[in-house]
Amino acid sequence: MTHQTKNEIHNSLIQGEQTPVEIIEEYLKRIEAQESEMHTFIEVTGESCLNEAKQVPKPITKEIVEDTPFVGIPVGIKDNINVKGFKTTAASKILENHISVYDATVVRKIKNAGGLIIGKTNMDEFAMGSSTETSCFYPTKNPINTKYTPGGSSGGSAASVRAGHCTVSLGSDTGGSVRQPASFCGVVGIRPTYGLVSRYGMLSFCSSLDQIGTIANDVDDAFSLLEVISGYDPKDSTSVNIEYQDLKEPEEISTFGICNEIEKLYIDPFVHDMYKKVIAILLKNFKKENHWLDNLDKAMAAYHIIADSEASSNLARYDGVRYGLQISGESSQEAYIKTRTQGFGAEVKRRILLGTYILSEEIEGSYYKQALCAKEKITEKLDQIFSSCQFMVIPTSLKLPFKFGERNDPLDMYYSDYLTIPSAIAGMPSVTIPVGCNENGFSAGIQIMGPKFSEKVLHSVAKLIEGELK
Amino acid sequence: MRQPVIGLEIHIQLLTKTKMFCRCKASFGDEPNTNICPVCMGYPGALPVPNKEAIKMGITLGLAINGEVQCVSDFSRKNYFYPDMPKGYQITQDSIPLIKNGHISVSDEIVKLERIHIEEDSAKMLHEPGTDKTLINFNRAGVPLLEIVTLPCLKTAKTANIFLEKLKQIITYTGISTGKMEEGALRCDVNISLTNPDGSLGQKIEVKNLNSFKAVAKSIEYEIERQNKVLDAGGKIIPETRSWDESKSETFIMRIKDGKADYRFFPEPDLKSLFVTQEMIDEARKNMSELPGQAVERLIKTHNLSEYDASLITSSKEILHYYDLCMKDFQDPKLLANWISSEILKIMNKNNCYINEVGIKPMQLTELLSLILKGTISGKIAKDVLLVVIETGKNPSEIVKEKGLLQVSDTDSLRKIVSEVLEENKNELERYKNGEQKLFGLFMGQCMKKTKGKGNPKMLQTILKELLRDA
Repeated sequence: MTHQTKNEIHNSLIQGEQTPVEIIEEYLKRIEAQESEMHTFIEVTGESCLNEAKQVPKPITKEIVEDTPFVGIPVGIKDNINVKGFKTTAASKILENHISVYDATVVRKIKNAGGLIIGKTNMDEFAMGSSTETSCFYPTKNPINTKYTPGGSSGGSAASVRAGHCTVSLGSDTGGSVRQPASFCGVVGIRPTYGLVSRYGMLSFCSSLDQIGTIANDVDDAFSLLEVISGYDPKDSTSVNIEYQDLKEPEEISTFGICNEIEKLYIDPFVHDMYKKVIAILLKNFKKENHWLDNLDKAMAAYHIIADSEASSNLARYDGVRYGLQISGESSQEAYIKTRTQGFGAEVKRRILLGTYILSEEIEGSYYKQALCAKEKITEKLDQIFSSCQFMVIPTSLKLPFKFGERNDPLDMYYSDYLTIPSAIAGMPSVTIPVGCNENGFSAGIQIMGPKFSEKVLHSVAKLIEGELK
Repeated sequence: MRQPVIGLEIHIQLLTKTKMFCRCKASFGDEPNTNICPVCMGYPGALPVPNKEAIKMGITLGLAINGEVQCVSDFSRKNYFYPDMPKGYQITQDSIPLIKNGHISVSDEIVKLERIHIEEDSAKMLHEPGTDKTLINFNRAGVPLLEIVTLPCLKTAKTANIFLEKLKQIITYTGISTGKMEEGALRCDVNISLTNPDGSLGQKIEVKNLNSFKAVAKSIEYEIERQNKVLDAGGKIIPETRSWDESKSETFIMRIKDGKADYRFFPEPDLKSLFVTQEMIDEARKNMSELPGQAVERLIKTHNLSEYDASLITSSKEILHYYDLCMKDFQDPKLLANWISSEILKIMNKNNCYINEVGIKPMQLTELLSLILKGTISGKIAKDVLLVVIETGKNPSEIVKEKGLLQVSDTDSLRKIVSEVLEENKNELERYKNGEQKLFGLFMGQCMKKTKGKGNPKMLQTILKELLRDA
């Protein structure tokens, strides 16, 4: 398996060793060879990608690469992000044949930066899940070992990068859906600060927590893609009016924090070792502080209450009236029931039912209000921690990848996000990088978390660790 | 004695160029489903962006009704499934509306408002006649609405009616809505209950599908009577939603409200709170057009009109505008006001049309009235000319010239006519001489008839008196 990075491809293109069409052909060949087993994509947009590759200006120069930083680079897009003219299904039967009528803002930006969209990546249905097993099409296999899940919900995005089906990809992270699969597939994944990247054109699951994130084989590629997609978007009222010029600018850092709770949790020993290894690297450069995150359990409860509540409302539009699956009935009521019963999978239904109940007048919003309170508390706590240290280091997942069918209990599955939820719920950025390699070929994902808009710090630290591990 | 307690909920469509949360044209009379986009169709991934113009209009109405503009208000989701609601929820305002409180004076009463909030309209459903098909036109989906909620403080159908007239005046004067109920630009639902013997509030009935102010008033009267009858017979009022049947002039049951509908309100996570700055309020105040009350005052003060005339002229913005245009080159406000409030209004009522549809331009009306003032034609002839103007579109002077309607003010001709009349009515002349003074009118009438209405009435009168005295 070759793991080409953006820079490697651009060097090859600039030196005329390969043409953009040859690059894409190479990727498509690999997809053809592996995809029937791995199922990293829901749809491969090979023909259009090749056509786009033919349009790339020749010869490719450094200037062109500076102007359009993703020129000629194959990009995978999670299937909950609209790409005009192609299906956007969110891995749900209810949108099985739905063709997008517009480009998401991030897709427009990637196209403007010269990126070539090679396919729509597989995922858990409506991003609800941590293994891609809730996809209505098929689960994605972990390219490291196909008996294992790639994690989720952006499992296809992480696996496609790892498998060499695309150079970089977009995922979405509501509670950990970029970072957990990235850690399972041994690649880099970023969840940016809430509001840094426009959500316009991404199918909402939990509007107040959803963020589009990037996945790549190395730290620089992941941050380069984030640079391209970030920025204020007047079409998304929750996007923040702040523009980074260069996320990869070095930052002055002195102190980092670790989380005391980690030593009290049952963590896979290999993950724990790699975590210690990273701390050792950091200690060579920075001062360490110990902090209690507090309320990790409550964070998870609050997360699910908020996420399911919003999901129950966000998914109401899939009613079969205007687009998507439509099953007729004697009355509009009956048509709704039939369409949604047949269109949604079990996990999605579970969350819609939970969310609907949580918001119902019967319980007077008591769960929802308390969850918002918990969210505030967790954010305050993290703000307080980040007032004394500049970033924290914490494992991405308690466990290494699990096999298909291994986690049947939904609650069991929900614990996959245990360590990725705190930064998500606080709207703060976090990057996961792969550390080490065990006898099965799996790496441990280690997260670097920072306060809002600390992406430059995260990049500097991730770069440092990546360099030390080489 | 049970007292009626009435509250109104009014929705008005705002005259913004674009919809509330997307930039589609807010014009729903166009070809169906042409003013639509991923946002107002609730397509996957589309997000709302609030329309600043609509918020400004909300602030304007808030100031016009002496309400309290909230510096921070919320957007909320009202969740329910219906084919006319593309997202499965309506974006509205729940816990904190844009405007709190406020009031409108109605004669001697004050109708208090509870709140005014912004929300989006639904699509329009059309049941195709003769089939079981329903068509949906999404041009209306997402059009900005203001919902105005009164306190349950109205006591009579009449107050409700006048309140609605006043409210309509305010929204048309401020230009935020056409207020045309027949086009659905203004919709009104009524909540009505009767007090219990101990004075506490009784069970509330909601009446919907009211398509005119008259229907609102009639439905209130009907409901008061109906509820009284039910209670007199020892029955109970069950909370229900009733619909107004215009042809039968009665309400009928639509649905029983068994338990409150659960809309699962929660803060709209796709939008930030709505912030209103002092500058926005100042600007709205600065740009506020003349309000109906101010217009009445102006007409009384500067044009010397009676309060009655002034309120007739200001009853609608169009009439006031017409009046103001006329007054640009005309000097007799009283005459103008009389003509508008009698002749012009008569035609408007007859044709059921607006003043700009009557068919006489302001310049033509002032030209006509000037002809009266100059003595060129009589008021009676002017009324005939008015009809010809409307019919042909020609200018009054032209018509007068063409039809030879010039007033006869030549003493010799008039004297000749009067003599002829007295000659032809010898018997009556005898009786007049014997003291039957009332016959003077008969002679005048005959004279006018002989001149085909063109005789100068004042001169005819003088001549007639003179000849009768000498006879």
